[in-house]
Amino acid sequence: MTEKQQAEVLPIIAGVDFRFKYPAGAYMSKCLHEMKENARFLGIQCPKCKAIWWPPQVVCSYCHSETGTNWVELGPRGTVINWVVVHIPAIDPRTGEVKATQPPAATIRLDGPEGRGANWLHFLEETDLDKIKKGMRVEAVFKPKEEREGQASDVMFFRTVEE
Amino acid sequence: MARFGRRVAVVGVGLSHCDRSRSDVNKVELANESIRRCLDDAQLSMSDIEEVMVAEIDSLFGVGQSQMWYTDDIACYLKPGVKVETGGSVGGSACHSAVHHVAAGACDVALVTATSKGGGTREPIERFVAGARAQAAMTAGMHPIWDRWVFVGPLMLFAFMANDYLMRSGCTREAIAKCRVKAAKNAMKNPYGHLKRDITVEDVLNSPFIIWPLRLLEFCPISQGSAAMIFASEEKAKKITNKPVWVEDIVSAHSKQYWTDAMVPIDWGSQEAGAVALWKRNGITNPWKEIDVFEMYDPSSWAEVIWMEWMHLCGKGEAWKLVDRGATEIDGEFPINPSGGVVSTNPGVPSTTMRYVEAALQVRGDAGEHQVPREVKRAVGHGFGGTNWNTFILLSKDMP
Amino acid sequence: MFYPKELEEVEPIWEEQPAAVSGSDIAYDVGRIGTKFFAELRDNKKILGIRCPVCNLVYVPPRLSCKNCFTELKEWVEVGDIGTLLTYTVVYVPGENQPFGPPYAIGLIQLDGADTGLMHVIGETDFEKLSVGMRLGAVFSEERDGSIRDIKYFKPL
Repeated sequence: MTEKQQAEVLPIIAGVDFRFKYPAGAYMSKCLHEMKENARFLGIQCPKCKAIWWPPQVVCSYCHSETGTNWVELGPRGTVINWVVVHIPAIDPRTGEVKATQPPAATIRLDGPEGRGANWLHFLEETDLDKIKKGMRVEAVFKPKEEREGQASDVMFFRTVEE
Repeated sequence: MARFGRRVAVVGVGLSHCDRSRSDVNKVELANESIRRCLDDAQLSMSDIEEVMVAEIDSLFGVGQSQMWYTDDIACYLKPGVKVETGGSVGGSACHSAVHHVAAGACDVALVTATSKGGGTREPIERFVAGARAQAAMTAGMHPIWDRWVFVGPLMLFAFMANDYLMRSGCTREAIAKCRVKAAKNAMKNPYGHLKRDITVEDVLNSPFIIWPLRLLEFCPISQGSAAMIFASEEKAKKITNKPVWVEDIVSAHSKQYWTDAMVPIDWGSQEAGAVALWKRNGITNPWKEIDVFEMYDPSSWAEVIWMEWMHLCGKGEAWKLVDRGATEIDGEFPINPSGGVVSTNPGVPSTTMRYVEAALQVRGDAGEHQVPREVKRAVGHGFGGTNWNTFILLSKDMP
Repeated sequence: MFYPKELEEVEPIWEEQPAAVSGSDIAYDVGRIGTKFFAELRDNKKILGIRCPVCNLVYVPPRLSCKNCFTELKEWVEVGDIGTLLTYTVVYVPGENQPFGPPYAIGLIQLDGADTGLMHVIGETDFEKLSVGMRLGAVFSEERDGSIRDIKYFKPL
């Protein structure tokens, strides 16, 4: 082996690019339609153990009962229970491109019936870390109807509200 | 107590040297490195291996059906085998598969191989973008419509977990930093480890935020490396080695699809479910006293601390205090990760196999410089995957 | 279990996304053995194999372990750039990552001195004239960068 060969190590770059089409399924499609058409959050409640599922799903994860059409409206307000701030470049999985910046992402407990709620991960409008507190109340802010696509991003962010 | 149809023991282990880039080898050669060491360790040859379990996460590394490529170099040509994929816990799941096959009598000697060769040398790619791609690749394990759009990989999950613990337990950041420094000190004693830096608590506390409140040094690197283990039936094990490490039990627990669900309340569920099952099934009422060493899968020092509580090793809110006073050091009351853990060496696919390997080495007394200075009768190895699958193995010196 | 009727009428929603890891982002290390093989192609237009001393088999392309006896292979052998066509096919359907637009022929070629077949493209030929057993010779590319495409194709002799 020549000295050059000895020193080098070769990589091979072989690209095959795929795109995938993911179906939302019947229950999630209904929930996404409600967001798009009516700016409403439609979750589902297990008729047996009363657990609330967001997004709605066909079978209860805890007791495996069929959830049928036991729709419940959630939100539009909720409570912040946790939050983080991204400081590194992140790839947007929908485009494969690097996202510019991200506002703080939070776990928001959406208001639900009889004091039961459901969690959702979404963005906060508030970017000042000192102003974000556990337990603060927030409300969903939707995009204008003509811009909504039937995706989680139809909600732009959650805005802090006074109560 | 014998749990399986036949008793199973670990009769050989092997590790490769881990580094950010092992460009001197391709993927299958890297697998081969730890397999050759493992065969040497067991004093077996490739013809003694009856079945091979391959752990892999093809979607991350751009080679579909990698088991075809691996075949020659993993002593599997014309032999039966199984390929397993369970996210980061796959290194453990493949071992569980081997234990099942041997216990059931499908074979007497099974080899487990786990390799990770992500990335690879290229024109220097901006480090952050390489990290972003790695996180994006792992985000692929999340629900395409509900979770992916907002998540920034597993990093974000740990950031949420960390913030919640900070708010609930009153823990200090110094305690977490001490946990990280412990890992670094232990890794320096591990010849096969990746990160061997003499870092201090100040270094950790001053490292930049990656996803607030998570700091850079509190999280694991991405390494390339491989690991191998050989499991054998009782009869064969006694002929192969005079130091068999008995598999007392294996347990795994899995979680739900949507990661948002897993944050209510902040407890991902499967760490606790798996650990509780392991203690219950084996009559262990006080793991802190009854287990001698614990190799935990710690993608972050936060995980090592928080999961001590989730796994019932101590009470809620207590873990950070125990770590703060050194209880989990290599010579402490309850040594956790004397190998340096995943936070020092993280090839991903083999990371759980390495926890099992390290636990086995501790039981055998063969961990060299990072051997805990006490008799090890029982050790636990733990694995975790971004799918929130958790695997556990209970290894013992005495035959169950 | 049937879906409730009202759900049968819901218009299905889809989301399209690119693959998480784009193939062109990955650099596959070929390792030391691969490097030597490709470097010889690039620098000297030579094709190397590796020999198992136990089984007396020459593997082309070279690899680390013998599949039969697991010996770690170290003995390099130069094989000719002429060989015999073991089998072939002609591709007519367009697809991803093709060496040329279809139609094109690919074959498994056992180079003189090797015990394995090497998969490559067959060029400069009428598909009708291809036959198992025919002799082919390598044509190297003018510009070579250390990849299997440093051999442009094999042509009938």
